[in-house]
Amino acid sequence: MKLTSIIKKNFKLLIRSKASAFTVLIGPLLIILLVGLAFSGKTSYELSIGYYAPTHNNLTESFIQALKQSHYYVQEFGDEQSCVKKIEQGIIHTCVVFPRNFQISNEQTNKLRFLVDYSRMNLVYKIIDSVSDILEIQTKELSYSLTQVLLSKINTTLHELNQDLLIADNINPKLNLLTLDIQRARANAESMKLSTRKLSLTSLNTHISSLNTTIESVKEKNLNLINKTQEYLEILVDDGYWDENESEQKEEELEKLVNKTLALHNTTSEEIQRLVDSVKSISSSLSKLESDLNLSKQLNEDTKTRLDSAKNNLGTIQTNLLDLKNALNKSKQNLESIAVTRAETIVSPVNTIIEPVVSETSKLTFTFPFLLILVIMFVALLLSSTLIIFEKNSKAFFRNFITPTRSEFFVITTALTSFIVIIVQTMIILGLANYFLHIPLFKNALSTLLIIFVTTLFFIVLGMAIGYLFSTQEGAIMASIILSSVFLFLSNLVVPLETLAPALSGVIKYNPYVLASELLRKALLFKITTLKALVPLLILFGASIIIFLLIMLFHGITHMRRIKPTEDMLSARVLQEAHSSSRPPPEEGVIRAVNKLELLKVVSNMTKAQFEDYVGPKQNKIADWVEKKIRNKKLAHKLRRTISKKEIMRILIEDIKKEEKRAKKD
Amino acid sequence: MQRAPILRIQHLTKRFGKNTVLKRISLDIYEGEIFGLVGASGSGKTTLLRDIIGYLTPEHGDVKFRYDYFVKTRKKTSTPIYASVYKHQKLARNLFGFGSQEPSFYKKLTTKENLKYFGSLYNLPKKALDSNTEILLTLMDLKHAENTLAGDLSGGMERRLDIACALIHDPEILLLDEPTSDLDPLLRDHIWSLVQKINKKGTTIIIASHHLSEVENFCSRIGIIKDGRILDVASPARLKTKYADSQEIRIQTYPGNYTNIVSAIKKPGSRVFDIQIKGSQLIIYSDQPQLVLHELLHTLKTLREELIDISVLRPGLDELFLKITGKDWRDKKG
Repeated sequence: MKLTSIIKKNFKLLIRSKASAFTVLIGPLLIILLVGLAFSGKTSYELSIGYYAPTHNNLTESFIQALKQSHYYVQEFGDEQSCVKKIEQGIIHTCVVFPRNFQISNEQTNKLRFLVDYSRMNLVYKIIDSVSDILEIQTKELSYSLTQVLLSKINTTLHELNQDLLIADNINPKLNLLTLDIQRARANAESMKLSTRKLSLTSLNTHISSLNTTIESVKEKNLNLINKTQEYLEILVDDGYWDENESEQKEEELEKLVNKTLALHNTTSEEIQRLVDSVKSISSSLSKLESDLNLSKQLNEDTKTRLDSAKNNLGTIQTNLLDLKNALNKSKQNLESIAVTRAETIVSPVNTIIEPVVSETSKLTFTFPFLLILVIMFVALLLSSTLIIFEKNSKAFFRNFITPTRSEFFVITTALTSFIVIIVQTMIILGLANYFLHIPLFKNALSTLLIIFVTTLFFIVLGMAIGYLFSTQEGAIMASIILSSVFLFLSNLVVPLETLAPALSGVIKYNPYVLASELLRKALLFKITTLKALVPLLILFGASIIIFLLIMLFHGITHMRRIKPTEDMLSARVLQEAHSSSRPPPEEGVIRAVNKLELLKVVSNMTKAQFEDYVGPKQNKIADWVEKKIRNKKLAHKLRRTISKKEIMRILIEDIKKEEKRAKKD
Repeated sequence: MQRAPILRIQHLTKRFGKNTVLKRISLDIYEGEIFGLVGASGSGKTTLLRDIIGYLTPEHGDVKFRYDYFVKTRKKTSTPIYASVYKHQKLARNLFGFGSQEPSFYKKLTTKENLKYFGSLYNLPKKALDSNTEILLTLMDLKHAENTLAGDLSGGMERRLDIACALIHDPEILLLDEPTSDLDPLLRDHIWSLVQKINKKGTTIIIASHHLSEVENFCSRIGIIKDGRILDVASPARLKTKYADSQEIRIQTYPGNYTNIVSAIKKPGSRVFDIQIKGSQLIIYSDQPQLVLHELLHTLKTLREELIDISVLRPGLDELFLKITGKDWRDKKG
């Protein structure tokens, strides 16, 4: 009941104080919105680029187009000086000067010049990076196409060489076959017997005559045989072996045979005669052939000589072709030994490819952990310090103290109130981030929540410490903002720690903002486990405990301060002195005093009605008196700002005390 | 048999550095009384009240409350048992209610919220808290403003709310530190009538003020404090009798160069205690008005001041207070 009552009270105070409510409740959402807008997606800067190109050609145009396509404001200048002048005036951020006759050739070195204003320290390198990136891409594209041409030619040559080798490979077996054929031809030529032996056609005639004689003899014998056969037949018939009919039949058949034999005899003679004629003709032909063969023999000799020569030549060719093949193989091997054939690789032997280690694409996703911790840090510091100041400076502080509730309880409830506010805000932000940025918060929820809780706790206790150290809200807010800014500026979000001096970066890595944001970044993007985050978490938690103990100590000291001479008591002393002066009490309408101390007495003795005669919305006679009699315009001005008797007394007491202090110093 | 006090302040000494604010103060407060603590600004009234409730710890001395009276003990003893406020802080804090000089509540909370909030700090059960809140809102005439932000209340309402906050846990002893300062007479009367109402309900009240005339009608006893010392404690009537030994001579002259008159009559050895110029009148305090009057008339003649009006009066309580607290001064002069 007590706990909820105090927390409820804290919330009501927070919400009903419009400025605080805005700062604490709406502020962080605005920060996220603004920073989100600043960081979301767009990586280019709003730059204005001027350029001067003495000559225009396709190459120049391609570069200018590249700049224009990068959504920069691009402006052309007629000369370098006018471009420079615009940089000096801050109208453009950089000037790109193209070389004269800007073209790609072996004879020319092209230099693109950037003219930038180095007084813009925070911008100059960004400008150079941004613009040079674009132009570098364009240069690379050119280089790439050139290399591509080169490589395609090499590839074509390689292809052709392969084809040549194939042909060479085909020639060789053919030549082998040719050599073989020649060798065979030579062997055939050698085996040909072209030497002619004399053909004796006379003996042929003799033989034919002999044959003729033989044939005549056969004919005669056949005729004799037939005659004898006829005789035998007549005998047979006579003897009666055969009847008449049969005998006649046999005689007819025999007669037919004799006729045929006679006809054959006649025909054979003719044939033989023709054969003799033919042999004669052949004989003459052979004579001619002999002469021809003799001629052929001569030619054959010549051919053999020539074939030997051809064989020798072919051998030489074969050797040459083998040499060629070897040479081509060597070339091929040389070409094949080139390992890198990609144009990109040839242009940039060492490639720098920037790739996100995780799949998240929006820049906001990467900066989200830093932003979230930033919000927690700012809100926790401001809120807890504000709540402490509220409580400390509240007139109700006294009443809280005199209740039976322990004062430590108020410290804890203040921390709890801040904790609830920040956790609710953080949950809203996380929910929005999950919905809009698709940041997978629930994949590593335990670590994420633990980091957020410990971080929130740390910054809350730190804010509370600030609240106890400072006595005014302005002071506490200033201190919170300054501390947050220091934490922020000495972090990776603004300057990479790696770029700082080693000694400094060694210390800065323990910057609570760095610790917490790095932890959350790792938890959200790389899903580190709680165990791995344990050491930094323990550091933050340990620091929180130490600060909390210090707060309790401060709380005690603050309480002691409050019960030591209070403003009222010190004022009382001054008042006492004022009363001890011998001046008479105030007279209506007239201030009878000679100094501030007496004035204080007069004012303190005034009744409300008397006071209202002197001070009201339209007049302030006390201030007038101070201005005229003491001639202290500053004090009079202060007094004029109030119509409260107490406030006037307080101002006078403060002034008297200040004067006393000054006097003591002097 | 004389009744036993419920609160005993014994030899209380409080220092802030070298400055001793309270010097061996001893006081007894009795059940059901309204005790007025009267002193000039800076005399140590607030410090004493804060010491009584245990907000401040004295260097010497003690503040004791009657333990057997406030805490219902099983053993009934004939002699009262006292316990130190500083040793039994939790108990003591439930015992006292404190209405401070400046309103001590949250201006961003409403009247009702303030009451409920402070009530919750005393661990009051919800029912009792609601009941007390309603009673106090009615008693303090704040019912119509229960949902008004405390910062928007008028001066008188703020004062009443502060007293209501002090009473939310129904304390036995209520301490009020100058509850009527900066209030107009009407509001002062309202506050005083409230104080009486509260007292009638049985609450013992210790009230600090620098207007003796204001407290004389309401307080049963008055303690005069000056420079951290209690000069006297008595009923208003007794104080009047005791200290009203001087009279005031009021004159009005023409052309009225009172500064010259003051210089002339304020001589070493004269019986003039104090001289004040109030409007067109010159007031002279003296225990022997005849002697002073004689001398005064002679002076007026010498200074060629024409006497327009003259009167001799016994002093009021405010003058009496000045007289009591200015004793040292008078002694020096005398």
